[in-house]
Amino acid sequence: MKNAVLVAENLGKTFSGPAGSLTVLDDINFTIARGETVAIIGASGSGKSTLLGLMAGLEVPSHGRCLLNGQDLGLLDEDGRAAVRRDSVGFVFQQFHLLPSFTALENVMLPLELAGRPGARETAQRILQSVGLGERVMHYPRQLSGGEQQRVALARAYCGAPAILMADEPTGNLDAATATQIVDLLFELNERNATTLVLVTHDERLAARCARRIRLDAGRLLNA
Amino acid sequence: MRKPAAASVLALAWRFFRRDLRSPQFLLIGLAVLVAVTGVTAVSSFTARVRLALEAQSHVLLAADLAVFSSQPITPLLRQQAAAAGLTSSEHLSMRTMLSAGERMQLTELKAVGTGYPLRGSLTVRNAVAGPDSTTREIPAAGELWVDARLLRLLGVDLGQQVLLGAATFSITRILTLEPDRAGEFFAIAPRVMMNLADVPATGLVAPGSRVQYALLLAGERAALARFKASATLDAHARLVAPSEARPEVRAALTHAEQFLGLAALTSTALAGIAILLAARNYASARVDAVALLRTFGANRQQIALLVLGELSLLGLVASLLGTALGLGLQEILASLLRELSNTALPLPPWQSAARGFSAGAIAVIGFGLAPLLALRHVPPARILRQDLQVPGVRPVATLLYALGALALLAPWDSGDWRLTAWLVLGFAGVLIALVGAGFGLVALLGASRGQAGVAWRAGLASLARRRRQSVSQITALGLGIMALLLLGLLRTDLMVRWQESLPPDAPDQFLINIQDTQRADLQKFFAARGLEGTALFPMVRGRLLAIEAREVRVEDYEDPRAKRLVDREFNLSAGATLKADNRVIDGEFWSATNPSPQFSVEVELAQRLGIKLGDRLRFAIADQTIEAPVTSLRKVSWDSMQVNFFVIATPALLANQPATFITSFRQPAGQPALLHDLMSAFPNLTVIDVGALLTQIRSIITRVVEAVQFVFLFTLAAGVVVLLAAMQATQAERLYDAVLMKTLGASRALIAGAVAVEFAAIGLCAGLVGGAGAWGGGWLIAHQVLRIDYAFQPLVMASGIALGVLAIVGVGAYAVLRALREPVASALRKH
Repeated sequence: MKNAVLVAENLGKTFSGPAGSLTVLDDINFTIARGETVAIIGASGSGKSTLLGLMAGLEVPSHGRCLLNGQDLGLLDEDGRAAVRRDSVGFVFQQFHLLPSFTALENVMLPLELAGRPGARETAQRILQSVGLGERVMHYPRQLSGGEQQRVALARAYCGAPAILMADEPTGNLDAATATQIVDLLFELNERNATTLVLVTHDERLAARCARRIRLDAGRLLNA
Repeated sequence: MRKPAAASVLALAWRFFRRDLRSPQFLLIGLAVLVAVTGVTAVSSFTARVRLALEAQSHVLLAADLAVFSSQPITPLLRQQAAAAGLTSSEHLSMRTMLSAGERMQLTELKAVGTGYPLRGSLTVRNAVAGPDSTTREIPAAGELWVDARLLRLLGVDLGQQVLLGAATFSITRILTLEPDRAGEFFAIAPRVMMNLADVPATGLVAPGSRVQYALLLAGERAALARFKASATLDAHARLVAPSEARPEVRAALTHAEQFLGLAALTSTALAGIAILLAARNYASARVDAVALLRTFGANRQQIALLVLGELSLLGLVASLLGTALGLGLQEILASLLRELSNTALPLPPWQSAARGFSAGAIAVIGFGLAPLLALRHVPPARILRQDLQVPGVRPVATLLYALGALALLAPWDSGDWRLTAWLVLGFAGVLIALVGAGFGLVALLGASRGQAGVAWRAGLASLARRRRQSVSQITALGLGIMALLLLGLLRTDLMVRWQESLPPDAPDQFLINIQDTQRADLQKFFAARGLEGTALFPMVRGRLLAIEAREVRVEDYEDPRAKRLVDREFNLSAGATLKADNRVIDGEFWSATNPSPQFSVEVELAQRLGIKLGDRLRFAIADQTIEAPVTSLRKVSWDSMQVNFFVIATPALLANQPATFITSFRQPAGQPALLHDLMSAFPNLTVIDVGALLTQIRSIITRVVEAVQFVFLFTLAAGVVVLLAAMQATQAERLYDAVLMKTLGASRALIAGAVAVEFAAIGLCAGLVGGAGAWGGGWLIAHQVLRIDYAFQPLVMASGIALGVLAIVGVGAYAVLRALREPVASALRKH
């Protein structure tokens, strides 16, 4: 596919432990086009998070390859994969993963500063304003509700205008009402930034909001 | 791909630094650096100041910075050379001569002093016999004499009266209590008379053949003194005397003190280093998730390294600045203890001391703290998704090498002694290996035996075995801490004992010489009547050393000026049937009653100086006879005991028929102020030398130094406490979680406390025993190899040290856990 932003070819991951080796993912093949919204769904332990890790270059596959923005992640070293993430990927996690000692503003500025982008503060302020946290920029994570923390995480994920956003169970730690608000905001930001969205979830209703669904079962793809 | 900006990473480092100031792990690193820098700054500033003060003090004891003594008049060339070097100078001459008042005559030690005398220190005088002492910068005016108080009594004259000195008449105007350089002339036995140098020609006392000692005193900058030393033209009669040769008793005590202070500073730094290492590891563990997040966002390893290095540097900088300031403040307190050491104010600490403290901080932070933090570079980004992912830990060998390297870099500065450094680094490495081995052994042993114990025991021992690596590292750190504290504690006690023994409260303060053979019985009766029974009298025979093993002894054969002086003068030989308590035979054997053949025993340093070996036959000329015998023992003499001692002792029979006078020393009993007066009335020919003032001075210096040593020991204790906190912090979060979980399952506080106490007692006991053994061995080595003092096994100090260590470990560990258990279970679970 000419417009492909993410390609998985024969992707597999096996972990070895004291009880022998365990294949978590096997023979995964799919392509995600630029601007697409894709949900990866499956039950707990089906290998969703591992697949996300491989797609983002957080882990290396045991076999097969993964191309992100045309670059084979397997051919890059750890720092090379970090550079690809820095330039092209945004993340949202179930546990929010905000730095507790940083304010909301500083948390959002973090990826921009790591990338050495100018105007990090202004950009972060603007995007926090747009997610409705303009008054809370100087608050620390412990002073924010779960929903607010996830808004900060969304602002942090989008502030660098990444080519692809990877969200790992983004509503898993939120109540139903807050979850709905966060999902609305996620899709709104995605549309506004024309970002490719890869969303890992076990929630069928959330997955239904994506244009395409990739279903995993026991480490194998049921449909792509 | 954009290039990551180092500047923005450093800005991030600054932000992390400010925020981490609230993190207990981070603060503990800072605290450890602070303790190390404070200790090093305080000790090095203090010792530098003491060294400067002592130097000043030793200059006072010479009345100059440098002196030339000669048996011939000082040459104009020498004066010119001194002036050309930019030195201030003053001259004096001294000789023994008779002074007469009417019919009565008395041998005196005459010192004729020129303008400017003394160049260092001042004269202590009295204007009336019973008046108060005061210091003066003046010297006797023309026609005046200042004299020893006892001379007035001996001559039966009073202040203001006229006396005859040679061909001139003088008026006695003041009592001379002390001149600064008198201590250097310990055996100047006759009463002192001081006059103006300009009056000497009128007396006609200096004539060809007179035994006169001329002195040129010099003072000035170090560079000027060096210039003079290099250019001075000295003939065979003249010798240069530098101040360092003054007062060996004080010097010995202070050398030990300095070594001990250096050791204490080094030990505090090493302990602080261990604390930094532990706290940095704890901090790194707490930062793993944050680093994983940064890696996820695209931070590369170089950026993580820069971030960590930036943050650590900032912490090191702030803690080192604070530590330097604190150290400088604290050394002021130390210095105030020694205010009496010098007549003038203590010199200011040199800037190098502060720089040394500051650099010690940098070395400690990098050497001990960097390895655990740099390991953060290897945190896998996937950790953000999988918390169970193992994080590569620090490499123990590399960490150990870094730490030992830092210690080796720090040590020579602190201890000022390479041998001490080597022993300490080796000792630390050895004990470290022993501790790691003992730790693993204990964990395995206790883990295997836990099934046979009660619930608390089982829980405690299970906890110990489960956290095997952490338990071993806790045992290692705490063991090293206990070793360092015990080592210093033991050595400190030994040093104090040694100092106190060297100058016991009953050390003699009066020397009595010129006792005739016929007076011995009467004198001993006199002493016995005044509670001074058993005061020993030692025979003294003057003899010139003629030959060593048939080799004629000539002054020109020796290069060492001290050796030249020794062979040029007569020796005071003595005889004794037994070895004195303050003498120790280090080679050969002292004679016994069963082997009374003629023999000599020689003081070991003199033997080395003159090249006398065991078995050599020595020949002495005594009056018109010669005696000869082999050297059968070499002795080490405690000169600082203030007892009568001799370089050469002979078997009693060897000196039996020689003309001898006797010498003794005693302590003037309190409450008998008239004793000396009575003694002089009963035995008018005897000469009493009062060293009371000197003893008081030495004792006061030693007391102050002991106080300084105690004070510096506090730094080591503080460093030990930081190690304890850091070691406890390592497993605290996990331990609290376990405790809360046990409470949730219904365990009582008593049971949990029991489990925690068992675990910590096992850790503490293992650390205490191995640390204690290390301290004993290390103390023995340092005492013998470096301080060269006797080392006694002190089981009480050792046992109480270990017990206190175990108690502190159990106390601190149990307190933190029990405090957390006061909270309701739900809130505690959330928090932990």
